[in-house]
Amino acid sequence: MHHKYKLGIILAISAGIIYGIASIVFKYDINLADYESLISNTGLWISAIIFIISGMAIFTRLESSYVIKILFIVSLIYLGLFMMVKVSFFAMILLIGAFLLAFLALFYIDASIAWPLTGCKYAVCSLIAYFFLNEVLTTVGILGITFIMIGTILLAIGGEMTKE
Amino acid sequence: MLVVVISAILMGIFPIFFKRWNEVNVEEKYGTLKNCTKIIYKEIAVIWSKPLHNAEIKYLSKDFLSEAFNLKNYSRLFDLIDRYLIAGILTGFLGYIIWIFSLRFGEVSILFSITSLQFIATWITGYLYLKERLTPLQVMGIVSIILGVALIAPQV
Repeated sequence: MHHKYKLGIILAISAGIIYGIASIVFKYDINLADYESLISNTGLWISAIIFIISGMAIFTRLESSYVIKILFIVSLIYLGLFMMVKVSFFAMILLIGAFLLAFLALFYIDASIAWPLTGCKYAVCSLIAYFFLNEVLTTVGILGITFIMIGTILLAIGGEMTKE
Repeated sequence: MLVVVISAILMGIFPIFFKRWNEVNVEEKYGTLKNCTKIIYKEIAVIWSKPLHNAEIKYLSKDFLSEAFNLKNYSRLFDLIDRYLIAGILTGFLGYIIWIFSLRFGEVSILFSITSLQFIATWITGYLYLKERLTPLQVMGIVSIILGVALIAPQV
């Protein structure tokens, strides 16, 4: 039997087995461990300390140490997971998505243009609250949204003019 | 108040570090982000797909494991994590944390308005550090956004 074919068969059967187990786990709500307790407050403090120390260590002679970099990334992931589990999963997903988009924007435009453009979050926040959560929008609020929109348009137009 | 100003400055300068990281690590070495991703992906894929192409190498063999878990084989990936990226993550993170904590000790309407300082911080550091030059229209745009945020933020 061909090597790739064999591996494919093994992976497919493994997937079938794991799907089956998952169905049972869902049906009977089986938990091998209390996952929420794995993401604990103590862990938060430990990871925060590791995050800061390993971050600082990059600015020393340990700059090229892979272990320090791994520690930094792991602590960052833990902090993200903590926020997901303890605060809001959906909000964290959206936050990470927004951060990645802003990060990608920096590859294409200047930082001094990209970052002020993210200021439209305040306008979006007010508009969502007004339309979907029945919150009140004052005249000052409307004026603020108008200013942000004008600013966004000016920034975009200014960039286009530079290109031309 | 001073703490909030510091947090706004931290939040404002972290995009500058990311931009610098992009210039030094991605644009200079790989040209584009797409190229960078492609090259690193290929390098890692070669290691992990070796057993698929060579029947003599097994996934759980000692040779494969020692190669797959040799951190030196991921040097390109680790080189991307440099002081600019770390500085960006640290300043951004600390800026947000300090700001959240400062909310406990001050008037929300004032503290929120001060956050618009971050855009001025980005503008100044971008001008000085990255030599970014803006057109008069863009300057007007940034001023308008800062005004808008200062007006609207206390109500959010």
